[in-house]
Amino acid sequence: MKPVLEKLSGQIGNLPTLPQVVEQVMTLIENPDTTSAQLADVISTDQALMTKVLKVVNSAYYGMPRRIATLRQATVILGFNTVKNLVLSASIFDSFGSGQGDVVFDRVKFWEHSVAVGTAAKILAQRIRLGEPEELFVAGLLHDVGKVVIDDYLHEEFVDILRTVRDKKCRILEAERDVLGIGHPQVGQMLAEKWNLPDTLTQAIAYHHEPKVAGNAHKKFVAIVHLADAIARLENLGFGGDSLTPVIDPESWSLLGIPELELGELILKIKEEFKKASVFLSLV
Amino acid sequence: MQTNAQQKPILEGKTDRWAAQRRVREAYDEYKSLYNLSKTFFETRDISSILDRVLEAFSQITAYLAAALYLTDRSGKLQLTEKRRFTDAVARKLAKFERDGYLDWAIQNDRVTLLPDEQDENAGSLLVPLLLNQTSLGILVIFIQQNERNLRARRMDQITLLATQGALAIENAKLFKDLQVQNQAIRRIRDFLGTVLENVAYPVVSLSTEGKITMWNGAAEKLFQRSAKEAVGRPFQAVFTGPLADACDEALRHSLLGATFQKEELEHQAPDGRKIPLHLNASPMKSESGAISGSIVSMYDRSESQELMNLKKIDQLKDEFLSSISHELRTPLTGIQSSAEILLTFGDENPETRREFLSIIQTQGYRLMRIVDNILFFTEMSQANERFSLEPVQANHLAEEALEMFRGLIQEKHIRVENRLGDTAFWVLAEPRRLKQVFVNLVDNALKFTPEGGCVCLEAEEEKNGKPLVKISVHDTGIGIPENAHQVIFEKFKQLGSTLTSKPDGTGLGLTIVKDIIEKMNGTIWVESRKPHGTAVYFTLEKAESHG
Repeated sequence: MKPVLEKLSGQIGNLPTLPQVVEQVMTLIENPDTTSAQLADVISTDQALMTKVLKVVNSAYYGMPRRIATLRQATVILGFNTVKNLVLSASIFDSFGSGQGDVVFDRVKFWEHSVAVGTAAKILAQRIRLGEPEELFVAGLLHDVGKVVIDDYLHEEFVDILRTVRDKKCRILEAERDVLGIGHPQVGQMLAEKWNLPDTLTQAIAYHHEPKVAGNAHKKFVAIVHLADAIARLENLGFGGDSLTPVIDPESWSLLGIPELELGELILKIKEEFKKASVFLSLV
Repeated sequence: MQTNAQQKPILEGKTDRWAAQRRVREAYDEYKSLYNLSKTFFETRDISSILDRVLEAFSQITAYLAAALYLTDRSGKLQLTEKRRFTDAVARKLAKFERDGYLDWAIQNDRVTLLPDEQDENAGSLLVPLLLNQTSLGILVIFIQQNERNLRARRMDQITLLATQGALAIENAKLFKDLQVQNQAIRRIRDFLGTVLENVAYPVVSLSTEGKITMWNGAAEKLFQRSAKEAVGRPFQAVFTGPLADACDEALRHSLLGATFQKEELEHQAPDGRKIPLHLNASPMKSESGAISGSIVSMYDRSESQELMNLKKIDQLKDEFLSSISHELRTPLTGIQSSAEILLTFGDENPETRREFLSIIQTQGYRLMRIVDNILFFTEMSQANERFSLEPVQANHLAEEALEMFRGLIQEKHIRVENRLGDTAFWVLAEPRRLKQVFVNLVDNALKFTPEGGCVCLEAEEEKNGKPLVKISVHDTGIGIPENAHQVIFEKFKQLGSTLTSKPDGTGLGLTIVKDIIEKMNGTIWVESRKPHGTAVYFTLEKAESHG
């Protein structure tokens, strides 16, 4: 095994765990008999988290006609899953926040890109009425989490990777494989598994560059994240690590069954939503 | 299960498993019953019935208090279409939702939303947007009993499931209704167009790409004396013959290439033998995809319009004729009038002057008579082909009478006139008054074209050409008539297109009338040029056997 990988697997023990509150929320959500009151109570044990969740709920992102005062109300009106995903999103920024102040890799711009991918994924999901659009927002937010893990826990190697990208003018994935032997999708997958995230989310993180490989049950989900990533890069929303044109898997588009003519409209919608989603960046 | 778990007694482990299984079974049964409930939503296409079934289903899992269904109208506005257990309080709540913008918000975000009631913590309103392909169809609002604190995820799932299914069923029903309305409209248009085509006065038929007749309207049935049943389905060659079939063939070829086609002056023989001039127009027929599916051929019976055109021409000619006649009448009238004036003013003074001008009056008077006679003969000519009653007549007497009318002019122009008709006593079969007019007109022409000192001569000879005929000639030593005009001068009005060409000056109608008269007396008439110059007009008449 490459010495780097050894180092990495050693580091896995050091990878952050999900905040306790989040774990509790995830467990509660697993149980269909959880009441809105119970969920709200658990979240409010973490004042900061509660504030963040309510901030997003009342922002232009949800565009609620009237202010939502309590978490309980938010749970009823927006639904259990939405609240769960908001809690997850808020805590990710907590765990990985603003980074090391890198000159070469601007973490804020990185989160911008992630939020953009999340927004795009959500809108695509809404368009084909697939499951919970909020799940896809989180998937988009997390899809490149492997990069920040590498940045935080294998910092020297990360600098190497960035240099390789600059010198060879190649994609960051190639540079990662060169330097580390694995890519950020796999690193992200390791984190997702440690966090016990649902399968769909884990697969989206692991296969967003090769959607064909995803399991049949999750193919559409992963395809959406794959396309959302490409769209965010094409529209220059945030910065994903390299400036090369993204590779797009043609089957992913046809899998979703959206007429090509609608693409223009959807992109406009995504750009609009992205502006509203800037509230998430304020959580960084 | 954790690997370093506490040791559980075997019995308890089993109980755990049973409990888990039971829970799964319960959940499964619940969803199964919900599924069955929701199946009923799709068993009807009537929106009101669907709504009732949805509410019935809701009341099985929670108490439903009231409901309202909004459907978007054509302008995109939400219209309250169905109400259930509607009270003033409900109306007020709905109005507030509208004002606050919750209805629009739910539709825009395409989410099933449960709004806790602001006053009553045990009630809530479920907003269920209805969408089809990104277009908003409306929104369903169900007021239910639900405690905000106690809402379980499971309950929310059930509610969402029923609501979504209900929305789908309503969306389907609306789509179906819209489709029916559209179909009705299409049927109406189709019937209207069908009626129009059937009743239009022109034959219109349509051909498939292979030339089979696919449509045959009422006018076509009439013109071609074939019913639509007989014609539709058969190749056009079976129904059209001759030039019409050729034209159809060309029309179809043009249509297949995407071009229109026109053919004028097609002669079609009707079943009753009539020849009908047809004008044909063809255009390519296109299907929805733009591919050419055949040809539409319409025809136009031109007989009436041709008649109309003829009438117009005749009307125009009549005006020109009247104009030319008026000019001819003016000249002698002017002569008479001015002579009379002079006589009245100066006539008493000199008997010679008096005689001179009276003579002019007489000559011009004769001239007027000739013109008027010609007009009369001309109108008689236009009338039906009546045969004259022919009798044995001595031509030379009539000739003399005619010459008498021109005495003045003859003297004036010093023309030498030789009437040799009396040399041979020929009796001819003729109508006297008209034969006299023949001589009048021929002498008139001869004198007109012969200069001073010239000669006008009348001769006759017998001809044996089957029937015994007498050939009479009137010839002069005048300026002559060019060869290429020998036919034209006999024609009423020479037409080239729709304009009159000019006949050699001054010949007017005289010769036309003469020709008509001679031919009605079973004779022929023609012109020859004389050497060195001059004209000879010949005509034949039947010789009368006796003068009885």
